[in-house]
Amino acid sequence: MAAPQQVTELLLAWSQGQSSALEELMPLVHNELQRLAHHHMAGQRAGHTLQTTALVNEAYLRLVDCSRVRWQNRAHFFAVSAQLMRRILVDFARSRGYLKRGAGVRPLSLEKAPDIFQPTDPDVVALDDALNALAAIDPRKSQVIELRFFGGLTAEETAEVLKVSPGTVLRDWKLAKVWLHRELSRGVPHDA
Amino acid sequence: MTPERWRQIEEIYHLALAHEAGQRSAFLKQACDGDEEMLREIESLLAHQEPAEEFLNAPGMAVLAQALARDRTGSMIGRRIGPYQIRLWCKREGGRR
Repeated sequence: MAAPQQVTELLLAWSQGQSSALEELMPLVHNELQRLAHHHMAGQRAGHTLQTTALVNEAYLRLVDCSRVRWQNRAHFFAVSAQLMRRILVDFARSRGYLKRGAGVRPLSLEKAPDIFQPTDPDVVALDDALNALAAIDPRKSQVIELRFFGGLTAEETAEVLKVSPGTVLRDWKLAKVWLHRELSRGVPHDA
Repeated sequence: MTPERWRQIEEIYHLALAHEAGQRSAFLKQACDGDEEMLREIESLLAHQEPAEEFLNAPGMAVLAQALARDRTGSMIGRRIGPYQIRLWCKREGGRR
Protein backbone atom coordinates (compact mmCIF):
# COMPACT_ATOMS: atom_id res chain seq x y z
CA MET A 1 0.00 0.00 0.00
CA ALA A 2 1.27 3.40 -0.95
CA ALA A 3 1.79 5.97 1.74
CA PRO A 4 -1.00 8.54 1.79
CA GLN A 5 1.63 11.20 1.35
CA GLN A 6 2.75 9.71 -1.96
CA VAL A 7 -0.77 9.68 -3.33
CA THR A 8 -1.42 13.19 -2.13
CA GLU A 9 1.75 14.49 -3.77
CA LEU A 10 0.80 12.80 -7.04
CA LEU A 11 -2.70 14.22 -6.82
CA LEU A 12 -1.26 17.67 -6.33
CA ALA A 13 1.08 17.25 -9.30
CA TRP A 14 -1.80 16.08 -11.45
CA SER A 15 -3.95 19.04 -10.47
CA GLN A 16 -1.09 21.32 -11.49
CA GLY A 17 -1.11 19.93 -14.98
CA GLN A 18 1.47 17.15 -14.73
CA SER A 19 -0.45 14.51 -16.64
CA SER A 20 2.10 11.74 -16.07
CA ALA A 21 1.11 11.75 -12.40
CA LEU A 22 -2.17 10.11 -13.37
CA GLU A 23 -0.39 7.01 -14.67
CA GLU A 24 1.33 6.61 -11.34
CA LEU A 25 -1.89 7.20 -9.45
CA MET A 26 -3.98 4.64 -11.33
CA PRO A 27 -2.36 1.47 -9.95
CA LEU A 28 -2.34 2.88 -6.43
CA VAL A 29 -6.08 3.48 -6.52
CA HIS A 30 -6.68 0.13 -8.20
CA ASN A 31 -4.87 -1.58 -5.34
CA GLU A 32 -7.07 0.21 -2.87
CA LEU A 33 -10.15 -0.93 -4.77
CA GLN A 34 -8.92 -4.51 -4.64
CA ARG A 35 -8.40 -4.18 -0.92
CA LEU A 36 -11.93 -2.84 -0.47
CA ALA A 37 -13.28 -5.72 -2.52
CA HIS A 38 -11.36 -8.16 -0.38
CA HIS A 39 -12.82 -6.69 2.80
CA HIS A 40 -16.24 -6.89 1.29
CA MET A 41 -15.80 -10.60 0.52
CA ALA A 42 -14.45 -11.32 3.98
CA GLY A 43 -17.48 -9.57 5.43
CA GLN A 44 -19.82 -11.67 3.33
CA ARG A 45 -18.14 -14.84 4.46
CA ALA A 46 -18.40 -13.80 8.07
CA GLY A 47 -22.11 -13.37 7.51
CA HIS A 48 -22.44 -9.70 8.30
CA THR A 49 -23.01 -6.74 6.11
CA LEU A 50 -20.19 -4.28 6.03
CA GLN A 51 -20.82 -0.62 6.41
CA THR A 52 -19.98 0.27 2.86
CA THR A 53 -19.86 3.99 3.44
CA ALA A 54 -17.50 3.59 6.36
CA LEU A 55 -15.26 1.37 4.26
CA VAL A 56 -15.17 3.81 1.41
CA ASN A 57 -14.42 6.68 3.74
CA GLU A 58 -11.59 4.68 5.18
CA ALA A 59 -10.29 4.00 1.68
CA TYR A 60 -10.18 7.70 0.89
CA LEU A 61 -8.37 8.40 4.13
CA ARG A 62 -5.82 5.75 3.31
CA LEU A 63 -5.37 7.11 -0.16
CA VAL A 64 -4.99 10.76 0.59
CA ASP A 65 -3.75 12.67 3.54
CA CYS A 66 -5.49 16.04 3.65
CA SER A 67 -3.33 17.44 6.41
CA ARG A 68 0.15 17.01 4.98
CA VAL A 69 0.17 18.81 1.71
CA ARG A 70 -0.32 22.52 1.34
CA TRP A 71 -3.31 22.61 -0.91
CA GLN A 72 -4.79 25.91 -1.96
CA ASN A 73 -7.56 24.83 0.41
CA ARG A 74 -9.65 21.84 1.39
CA ALA A 75 -12.24 22.58 -1.28
CA HIS A 76 -9.67 22.44 -4.05
CA PHE A 77 -8.38 19.18 -2.71
CA PHE A 78 -11.88 17.63 -2.63
CA ALA A 79 -12.60 18.81 -6.16
CA VAL A 80 -9.40 17.33 -7.58
CA SER A 81 -9.88 14.03 -5.72
CA ALA A 82 -13.42 13.67 -7.06
CA GLN A 83 -12.20 14.31 -10.61
CA LEU A 84 -9.52 11.68 -10.19
CA MET A 85 -11.95 9.12 -8.78
CA ARG A 86 -14.34 9.73 -11.65
CA ARG A 87 -11.61 9.20 -14.19
CA ILE A 88 -10.32 6.06 -12.53
CA LEU A 89 -13.69 4.46 -11.82
CA VAL A 90 -14.93 5.06 -15.35
CA ASP A 91 -11.75 3.68 -16.90
CA PHE A 92 -11.95 0.75 -14.56
CA ALA A 93 -15.58 -0.04 -15.37
CA ARG A 94 -14.77 0.21 -19.04
CA SER A 95 -11.84 -2.20 -18.72
CA ARG A 96 -13.98 -4.79 -16.98
CA GLY A 97 -16.29 -5.25 -19.88
CA TYR A 98 -18.98 -2.98 -18.57
CA LEU A 99 -19.71 -1.29 -21.84
CA LYS A 100 -22.90 0.41 -22.65
CA ARG A 101 -24.89 -1.13 -25.42
CA GLY A 102 -23.93 0.11 -28.82
CA ALA A 103 -20.37 0.90 -27.76
CA GLY A 104 -17.64 0.00 -30.20
CA VAL A 105 -16.54 -3.39 -28.93
CA ARG A 106 -18.41 -6.42 -30.16
CA PRO A 107 -18.46 -9.57 -28.01
CA LEU A 108 -17.18 -12.69 -29.72
CA SER A 109 -20.49 -14.48 -29.48
CA LEU A 110 -24.11 -13.43 -29.46
CA GLU A 111 -24.42 -14.14 -25.78
CA LYS A 112 -24.37 -11.31 -23.34
CA ALA A 113 -20.83 -10.58 -22.25
CA PRO A 114 -20.36 -11.67 -18.65
CA ASP A 115 -19.77 -8.69 -16.47
CA ILE A 116 -19.22 -8.27 -12.81
CA PHE A 117 -21.95 -5.72 -12.25
CA GLN A 118 -25.51 -6.29 -11.18
CA PRO A 119 -28.48 -4.96 -13.10
CA THR A 120 -29.19 -2.54 -10.27
CA ASP A 121 -25.69 -1.04 -10.40
CA PRO A 122 -25.49 2.26 -12.24
CA ASP A 123 -23.80 2.12 -15.63
CA VAL A 124 -20.76 4.20 -14.71
CA VAL A 125 -19.61 4.57 -18.30
CA ALA A 126 -22.97 5.85 -19.54
CA LEU A 127 -23.20 8.03 -16.44
CA ASP A 128 -19.92 9.67 -17.35
CA ASP A 129 -21.26 10.60 -20.81
CA ALA A 130 -24.55 11.85 -19.37
CA LEU A 131 -22.65 13.97 -16.83
CA ASN A 132 -20.78 15.67 -19.67
CA ALA A 133 -24.10 16.45 -21.33
CA LEU A 134 -25.48 17.80 -18.06
CA ALA A 135 -22.40 19.99 -17.60
CA ALA A 136 -23.25 21.74 -20.88
CA ILE A 137 -26.57 23.05 -19.53
CA ASP A 138 -25.94 23.07 -15.78
CA PRO A 139 -22.28 22.71 -14.72
CA ARG A 140 -23.00 22.97 -11.01
CA LYS A 141 -25.38 20.00 -11.00
CA SER A 142 -22.84 17.95 -12.89
CA GLN A 143 -20.24 18.87 -10.27
CA VAL A 144 -22.56 17.98 -7.42
CA ILE A 145 -22.87 14.45 -8.82
CA GLU A 146 -19.14 14.23 -9.44
CA LEU A 147 -18.30 15.32 -5.90
CA ARG A 148 -20.88 13.16 -4.17
CA PHE A 149 -21.05 9.99 -6.26
CA PHE A 150 -17.47 9.80 -7.50
CA GLY A 151 -15.78 11.80 -4.76
CA GLY A 152 -17.77 10.30 -1.89
CA LEU A 153 -18.36 13.70 -0.29
CA THR A 154 -21.21 14.57 2.06
CA ALA A 155 -23.70 17.30 1.16
CA GLU A 156 -21.91 19.63 3.58
CA GLU A 157 -18.48 19.02 2.05
CA THR A 158 -19.96 19.46 -1.42
CA ALA A 159 -21.46 22.76 -0.33
CA GLU A 160 -18.04 23.86 0.91
CA VAL A 161 -16.43 23.08 -2.44
CA LEU A 162 -19.12 24.80 -4.49
CA LYS A 163 -19.59 27.71 -2.09
CA VAL A 164 -23.35 27.25 -1.90
CA SER A 165 -25.63 26.19 0.95
CA PRO A 166 -26.14 22.50 1.77
CA GLY A 167 -29.81 23.07 0.91
CA THR A 168 -28.86 24.09 -2.62
CA VAL A 169 -26.64 21.02 -2.91
CA LEU A 170 -29.51 18.74 -1.91
CA ARG A 171 -31.87 20.38 -4.37
CA ASP A 172 -29.28 20.09 -7.15
CA TRP A 173 -28.50 16.52 -6.17
CA LYS A 174 -32.14 15.44 -6.40
CA LEU A 175 -32.88 17.05 -9.73
CA ALA A 176 -29.55 15.97 -11.23
CA LYS A 177 -30.32 12.37 -10.24
CA VAL A 178 -33.76 12.64 -11.85
CA TRP A 179 -32.27 14.05 -15.04
CA LEU A 180 -29.50 11.43 -15.19
CA HIS A 181 -31.88 8.61 -14.38
CA ARG A 182 -34.01 9.63 -17.32
CA GLU A 183 -31.00 9.91 -19.64
CA LEU A 184 -29.71 6.49 -18.65
CA SER A 185 -33.18 4.95 -19.01
CA ARG A 186 -33.19 5.86 -22.66
CA GLY A 187 -30.90 2.84 -23.08
CA VAL A 188 -29.45 2.26 -26.49
CA PRO A 189 -27.82 5.40 -27.84
CA HIS A 190 -29.46 7.00 -30.87
CA ASP A 191 -26.63 6.08 -33.19
CA ALA A 192 -26.73 2.35 -32.29
CA MET B 1 -31.09 22.88 -24.89
CA THR B 2 -29.69 26.19 -23.71
CA PRO B 3 -28.79 26.81 -20.06
CA GLU B 4 -31.43 29.57 -19.99
CA ARG B 5 -34.19 27.23 -21.09
CA TRP B 6 -33.03 24.60 -18.62
CA ARG B 7 -33.26 27.19 -15.82
CA GLN B 8 -36.88 27.90 -16.78
CA ILE B 9 -37.63 24.18 -16.82
CA GLU B 10 -36.00 23.74 -13.43
CA GLU B 11 -38.03 26.55 -11.93
CA ILE B 12 -41.34 25.20 -13.19
CA TYR B 13 -40.34 21.66 -12.17
CA HIS B 14 -39.82 22.75 -8.56
CA LEU B 15 -43.05 24.73 -8.53
CA ALA B 16 -44.88 21.69 -9.93
CA LEU B 17 -43.44 19.50 -7.16
CA ALA B 18 -44.78 21.93 -4.59
CA HIS B 19 -48.30 21.32 -5.92
CA GLU B 20 -50.44 18.39 -4.88
CA ALA B 21 -50.13 15.53 -7.38
CA GLY B 22 -53.73 16.03 -8.45
CA GLN B 23 -53.18 19.68 -9.31
CA ARG B 24 -49.84 19.33 -11.06
CA SER B 25 -51.17 18.70 -14.51
CA ALA B 26 -53.36 21.81 -14.50
CA PHE B 27 -50.54 23.89 -13.06
CA LEU B 28 -48.08 22.67 -15.69
CA LYS B 29 -50.40 23.47 -18.57
CA GLN B 30 -50.80 26.98 -17.29
CA ALA B 31 -47.11 27.50 -16.45
CA CYS B 32 -45.85 26.21 -19.81
CA ASP B 33 -48.34 28.44 -21.60
CA GLY B 34 -48.66 26.45 -24.80
CA ASP B 35 -44.99 25.42 -24.99
CA GLU B 36 -45.62 21.72 -25.64
CA GLU B 37 -41.96 20.79 -25.73
CA MET B 38 -41.37 22.28 -22.29
CA LEU B 39 -44.46 20.58 -20.95
CA ARG B 40 -43.27 17.18 -22.16
CA GLU B 41 -39.79 17.78 -20.78
CA ILE B 42 -41.08 18.58 -17.30
CA GLU B 43 -43.59 15.72 -17.32
CA SER B 44 -40.85 13.26 -18.23
CA LEU B 45 -38.65 14.56 -15.41
CA LEU B 46 -41.52 14.25 -12.94
CA ALA B 47 -42.04 10.65 -14.06
CA HIS B 48 -38.45 9.85 -13.07
CA GLN B 49 -38.59 11.56 -9.71
CA GLU B 50 -39.56 8.49 -7.73
CA PRO B 51 -37.38 5.86 -9.46
CA ALA B 52 -34.38 8.21 -9.12
CA GLU B 53 -34.60 8.39 -5.33
CA GLU B 54 -32.28 5.45 -4.64
CA PHE B 55 -30.21 6.08 -7.76
CA LEU B 56 -26.50 6.89 -7.15
CA ASN B 57 -26.91 6.77 -3.38
CA ALA B 58 -24.08 4.24 -2.97
CA PRO B 59 -20.70 5.88 -3.69
CA GLY B 60 -19.10 4.89 -6.99
CA MET B 61 -16.11 3.39 -5.27
CA ALA B 62 -18.37 1.10 -3.23
CA VAL B 63 -20.22 -0.04 -6.36
CA LEU B 64 -16.95 -1.03 -8.02
CA ALA B 65 -15.49 -2.65 -4.91
CA GLN B 66 -18.60 -4.79 -4.55
CA ALA B 67 -18.51 -5.71 -8.21
CA LEU B 68 -14.90 -6.77 -7.78
CA ALA B 69 -15.81 -8.86 -4.76
CA ARG B 70 -18.37 -10.67 -6.89
CA ASP B 71 -15.60 -11.39 -9.34
CA ARG B 72 -14.01 -13.56 -6.68
CA THR B 73 -11.70 -15.61 -8.84
CA GLY B 74 -9.83 -12.59 -10.08
CA SER B 75 -9.27 -14.66 -13.19
CA MET B 76 -8.90 -13.48 -16.76
CA ILE B 77 -12.40 -14.60 -17.66
CA GLY B 78 -14.47 -11.71 -18.85
CA ARG B 79 -11.48 -9.46 -19.35
CA ARG B 80 -11.02 -7.61 -22.56
CA ILE B 81 -7.79 -7.56 -24.45
CA GLY B 82 -7.97 -5.18 -27.34
CA PRO B 83 -11.13 -6.05 -29.26
CA TYR B 84 -11.32 -9.57 -27.74
CA GLN B 85 -12.90 -10.83 -24.62
CA ILE B 86 -11.88 -13.97 -22.78
CA ARG B 87 -14.86 -16.29 -22.43
CA LEU B 88 -15.49 -19.43 -20.46
CA TRP B 89 -17.43 -22.20 -22.15
CA CYS B 90 -19.16 -24.92 -20.21
CA LYS B 91 -19.55 -27.93 -22.45
CA ARG B 92 -22.42 -30.21 -21.63
CA GLU B 93 -22.11 -33.85 -22.48
CA GLY B 94 -23.24 -34.33 -26.02
CA GLY B 95 -23.44 -30.61 -26.19
CA ARG B 96 -23.13 -28.23 -29.04
CA ARG B 97 -20.54 -28.86 -31.63
